[in-house]
Amino acid sequence: MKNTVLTIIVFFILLMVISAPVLEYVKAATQGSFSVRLDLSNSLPTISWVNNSVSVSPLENSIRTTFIQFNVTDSNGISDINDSSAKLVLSYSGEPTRYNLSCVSGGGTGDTKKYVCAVDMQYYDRDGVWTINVSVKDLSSSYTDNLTYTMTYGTLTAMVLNKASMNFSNAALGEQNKASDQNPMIINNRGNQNISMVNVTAFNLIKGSETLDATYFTMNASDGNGAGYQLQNNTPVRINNSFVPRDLGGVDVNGSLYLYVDVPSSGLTQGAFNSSSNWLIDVS
Amino acid sequence: MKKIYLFFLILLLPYVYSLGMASTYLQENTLKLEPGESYIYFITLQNGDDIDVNAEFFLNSEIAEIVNPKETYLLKGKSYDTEIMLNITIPKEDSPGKIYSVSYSLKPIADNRGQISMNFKLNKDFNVEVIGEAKENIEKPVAEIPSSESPSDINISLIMAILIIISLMTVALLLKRSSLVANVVEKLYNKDIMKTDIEQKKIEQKLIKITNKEPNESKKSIVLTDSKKYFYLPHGHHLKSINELVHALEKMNEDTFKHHVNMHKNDFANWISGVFDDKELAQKIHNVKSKEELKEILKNEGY
Repeated sequence: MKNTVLTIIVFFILLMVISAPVLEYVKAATQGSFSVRLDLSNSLPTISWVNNSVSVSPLENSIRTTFIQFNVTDSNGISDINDSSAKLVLSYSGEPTRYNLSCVSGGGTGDTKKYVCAVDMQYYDRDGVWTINVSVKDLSSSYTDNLTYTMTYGTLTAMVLNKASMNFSNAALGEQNKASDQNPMIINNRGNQNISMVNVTAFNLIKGSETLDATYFTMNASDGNGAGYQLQNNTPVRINNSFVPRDLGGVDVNGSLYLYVDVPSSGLTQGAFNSSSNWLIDVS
Repeated sequence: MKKIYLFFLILLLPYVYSLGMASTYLQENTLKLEPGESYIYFITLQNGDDIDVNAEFFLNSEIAEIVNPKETYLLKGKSYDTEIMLNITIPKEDSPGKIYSVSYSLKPIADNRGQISMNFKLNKDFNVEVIGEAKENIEKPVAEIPSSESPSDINISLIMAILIIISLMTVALLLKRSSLVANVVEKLYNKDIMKTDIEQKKIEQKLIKITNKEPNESKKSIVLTDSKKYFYLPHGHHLKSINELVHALEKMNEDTFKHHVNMHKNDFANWISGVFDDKELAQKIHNVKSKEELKEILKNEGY
C-alpha cells in the first residue's frame, strides 16, 4: 500500500515538472499576435453526372439524332460556367467522331447546371460501345472533361435492291451469254453491317408445257461476260466475290449482280417464258 | 439461219423494296444467359422508303420464340419502329459453356409479275452462351477444400496459434499482478458495458417506436454475395441489393426497363420475391408500369 501511494506521488511530481514549460509556452502564444493569410483560388468545374445509359438503334439509310445529358458542378456558382464551351464528342477507334460543340444549357440549381447535347449518328456508324467525352470551361477558361461514360450503338442490317425484275428481250435460240436488259442488279447496303454473303435461289421459267431450266442461267458479281455461277431450280447458289461493305465514310458502296442466259438451240418455241416463282437474293 | 426469238415480257415493277432490321448491340455477337434465365431481345423492323411494304419475319432457334407473332408485318413508308420481341429462355438443366444459335430473317412480300421477279431476304444471327458456375464446382463439398493445404501450411498455422495463446496468457498474468491497473480496467470495462447496453436498448426502443417493427425484421440492408442471385441487367451490369436497384432506376433507360417490366412479366418483382423473400413488396410492385412508379414505391418502403 505504501508503495502504491509513493508511486502516485512520484507520478504527480513528474507530471508537474513536464507540464510547467508547456504551460509557459502556451501562455506566451496566447499573448502574442499572428496573422492569417487566406488565398481564395478559382475552383475547377466538374462533370458531376453523364447520362451513360444511352442505347440507340441506327435508322436505315438515315441519321439517328441521339440526345445525351450531363451535369456540371462549379463551387463558384453556375454563373461561372461558360455555356458556349459545353461540348460532347462520341468516339470509337477507327471511326469518324460524332460531336456537338454547342450543347444547350437546360438550366440549373445551386452550383449544378444541366446540359443537353444532340449528336447525329449515321446509319453506317459502327455498332458497339462508343466513348462519351464531355467537356466544359468556366469563365476563367479552366477546363475539365470526362471520358468515363459510354453509349451503345445498335446493329442494323439493311439493304435495297434496285431491280424488282430481270428481263431478256429478243433472246434467240442458241444464243449464248445473253445479258439481261437490267444488268447489273444493285445491292445497296443501308446498314452498319457488311454484307458478306449472297445466295441466289432461281426457279425454272415456263411457257405452257415448255420449261426453260434455271440451269441455263448464270450470275456473277463482277461482270464476267457470261461466266458466272450456274443457278439451280429452287436451290440456293452462293455468288462469290459479292462482298458489300457498309458505307465507310459516307461513300455509297454498292454490290452488283449480273445475270446471263444460254438459250438452248432447240426444244423451245417462240413466246414469253416467265419464272414460276420469285427469285430470291439471300443476303447475310 | 432462221432465228426463233424468246420474248420475255418487259414489264418492270414500278418500285423496289428497302428494308432493315435493327437490334441491340451484342459484344462478340453473343448474348450470355444463365440456366433457367429468360431474356427479351428486341428487333426493330424498318422501312426507309416511301412506299408501304408487307413483310414476313422468320425465326430459327430452339430456345427463342416470337412474342405475339404475326403472319405478316405492315411496314409503313419511312417507319422505323415496328418492334418484334424474341423471348429467349435457357433450359434449367443446361450446362455452362453450351452455345445456341438464334437466326432470323425478313423478307418483303413481292408479287409475281409474270417475268423473273426478284425478291430478297435479309438474314441475321447471334449466339447465346450459357454461363454460370459449372455444376461440378457447385456440388463440390466445402470440406474438401482444406485438403489441398500442404503439411507445412498446417505447421505454420499451429505455431502461430500457440504463439498468440502464449502472448495472451502473458498479458493476462501481467495485468493480474498489477491490482491497481486491473481494478481500474475492470471498473472502466463495466461502466462501458453498462453504457453500451443502455444506449443499445434506447436505440432499439426508438426503432420500434418509429417503424413499429422489430429491428431484425428489416431486409433493407441485405447485400447479396452469391452471384447466382444477382439481378443481371444488359451490358453486364448487375444488382446485389434492392438499394442498388433504386440507384440503377435513376439511370436506367426505357428500353432496359421494358426488357424487364412489360405486359408479360415483372423481373424485379420476381427477384425481390424469390431472392429476398419479400412477398409483400413484390406484390406492391407487381403491376407497376413505369420507372417512376417503381421508384416511388421503393422509396416509400424506405429504400
